[in-house]
Order: sequence, then C-alpha cells, then structure tokens
Amino acid sequence: MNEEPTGTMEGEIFAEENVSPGEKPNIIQNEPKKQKKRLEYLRDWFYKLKAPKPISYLILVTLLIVIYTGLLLVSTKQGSQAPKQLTQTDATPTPSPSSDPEVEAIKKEVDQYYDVIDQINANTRKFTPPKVDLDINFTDKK
Amino acid sequence: MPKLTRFAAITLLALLLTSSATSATLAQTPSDAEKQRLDQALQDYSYQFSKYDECHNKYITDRSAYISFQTATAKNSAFITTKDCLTKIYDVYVAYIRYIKEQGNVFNWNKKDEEKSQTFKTLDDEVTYFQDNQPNVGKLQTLEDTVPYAADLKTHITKTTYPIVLKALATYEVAESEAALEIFVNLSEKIRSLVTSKINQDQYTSFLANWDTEIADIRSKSENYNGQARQALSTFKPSTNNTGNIGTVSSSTSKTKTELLRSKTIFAEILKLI
Repeated sequence: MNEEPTGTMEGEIFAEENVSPGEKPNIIQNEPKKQKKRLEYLRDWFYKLKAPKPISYLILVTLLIVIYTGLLLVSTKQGSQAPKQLTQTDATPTPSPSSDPEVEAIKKEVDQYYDVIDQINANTRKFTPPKVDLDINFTDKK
Repeated sequence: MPKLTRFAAITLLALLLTSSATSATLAQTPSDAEKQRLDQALQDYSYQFSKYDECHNKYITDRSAYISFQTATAKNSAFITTKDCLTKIYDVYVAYIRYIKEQGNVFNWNKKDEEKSQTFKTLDDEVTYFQDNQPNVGKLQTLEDTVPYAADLKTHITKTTYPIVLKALATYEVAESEAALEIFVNLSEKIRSLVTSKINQDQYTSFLANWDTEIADIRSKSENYNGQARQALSTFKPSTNNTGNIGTVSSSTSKTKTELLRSKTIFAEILKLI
C-alpha cells in the first residue's frame, strides 16, 4: 500500500537522458524566455505611453465597476428569491395538502383580496388635519 | 503607487456603500415603490410637523415675554418667531397634502383614471397655493401684520383646504370600495369555475346552489351600498366643524366592507372542497 508507482517517473527520466544535448535547453529554457520577453515588451509599451498613470486609474476603475456590477447582479438575483423559512415542515417533509399550482394561485389571489377589503374605510382616521395654531394674538387674553 | 492604492480603496468603498441601496431599488416591485413613497410622504409630514411644533413652543415663550415686558426687543423676537412659525405652517400643509395624494396611489382605481387625475389635480393645486403664498410671510413688516395674515390663512385652510382634502378622502373610500367589489365578483367566478372543474358536481349540487345564492346576495347588497356611497359623494359637502368626518360616504362604504367580509368564510368553505 505504501509503494508508489515509479514506472512513469523512471520513464520520464530515461526519456530526458536520451534527448540529445542540443535539444534539452530548447524545451526547458525557451518558454520562460518567451514569457520574459512578452513581459518586457508589455513593460516597455507601458512606459512608452505618454500618461501611464491616468490609464492605470482607468483600468482600475473599469475593473472595480465590472466586479461591482457582477456582485450587484448576484445580490439582486438572491434578493428576488423568496427567503426559505426554516420551519418544522422543512425538517420533516410531509405531503402538502394542495400542491396544485392553480389552487395555490387562487389562494394567493384570495389573500390579496382580503387585504383590499381590510383597507376599505381604514385610512380616513390616519389623515386627521394637522393641528396648527393660527389664532395669533398678542393681547393678554390667550 | 500608494496614491493609486488609496484611490482604489476610496472607489471601492464608495461602490460598496451605494451597493445596498441600489440592489434594494432593483429588487422593488411597483407596488413596493408606491408604498415606499407613501411612507416617505408620511415621514416628511411628521418631520415638518415636528419642526413646526418646536417653533410653536418658542412662539409661546416669546409671546409671553412680549406680553409681560412690552419691550421693543421682546416684540421683535415675537415677530421673528411668529413669521418663522407661519412659514412652517405652509411646509406642514404642503407635506400633509402630498401625504394624502400618495395614499391615492396605493390602491387600484378600477379603471377610473379620470376621477383619479381630477382628485390629484385639486390636491396639486392646493400644494401650489401653499408654495406660492409662503414667500408672502417674508414680506410682513411688523408684529401687528402677522395677526390678520394668520387669520386669512386660517380662513383659506378652513374653507378651501379642508373641503378639498375631505373630498379626496371620500373619493378614495368610494374608489377602494368599488375596486374591492369588482375583485370579489371576478374572484368568486374564478373560484367557482376552478372548484367545479375539480369536483364531482352531482355530489355537491345543493352546496353549490347555496354558495351561489350567498355570493349573489353579497354582490347585490354591496352594489347597493356602493351606489349609495357614490350618490353621497356626488352631493358631498364636507362639514367645516368636523374635519375628520366624511359622513354618509363612510357609512355606506363601511356597509360594503361588512358585506364583503362575509366572503371570507364563504370562499374558505368552497376552497376546502379541493
């Protein structure tokens, strides 16, 4: 169980040893060199720019806005979903008495209708006019 | 580079601070937005009234000081405070009328858009009156000028503002009551159709017949009371003595409400069948 397969590794070492001396540096060193060149080219291009600072600000702000918009979209999607309430029924699922979407929809409409009824005649008292003092006088009577 | 880091940090902070408010706005439904506007209008009204209340307390103190000492300084203080309170009374009324207007946006007008716009227009005109006349307070020159000015303002409020406000509230009551009845009619038809499609009707013949007569009874009585409310609204004359009373309109709409409340039990009964 503790023995690890070594065949593949040995094979690789063997293959490396069989490679001619001229080929070996090409494989190992060419890629970092290319990357280094690319980075140097990018750095040179950046320093050649007349105003690198404003451009870096612009890139930074664009990046921040993109991240911000992404986060905002994620939070909006989460917000629009009704939060799942942890109730006892969640812990022990039982068959719902009515899982018919038509019935559920109409029950929802009925609840909304009850709210509408409750609102009738309920508002007038809330709108009692403000009590302001317009009986202004500067005699001793008041 | 530290400058760049600082800039990035400030931008990120600003974006984060606005994120919660923006996401809340995006998640709103139109109905939520209207309710939020009503809440904001109420908050504004409460704020304006609290500012007036503070001013009124100062007015009482300054008035007493002037009556007691009769000095030019005390008179000037009383004059400045009185003017300030008069200005704030205008603010209070503007906020109050706007609050009433917003209440008209939180229910369904049942296709009576013309009535809604007419009601809103009278309220808007009243807001304009208060906004246009508020600067006149600044033109008052002496303490003596404030007394007739306040009396004129009181006359306007009593004879014009209160009737407009009460008429708007009465119109809201009738519109709400009519809208509720329309919902009741549509909903009862929908419920019956759904239930009959899901049950064996032969088994419930008498139940359905009795249910139908109950629904018809609620509808006929509600239509009758709504008709009375509409009639009362057309001849509505608000009493200036009792500013909170919209009389016969309210009594008719409350009867409609009682009738429609009966539907709670009746709807629940039929929905038990499915």
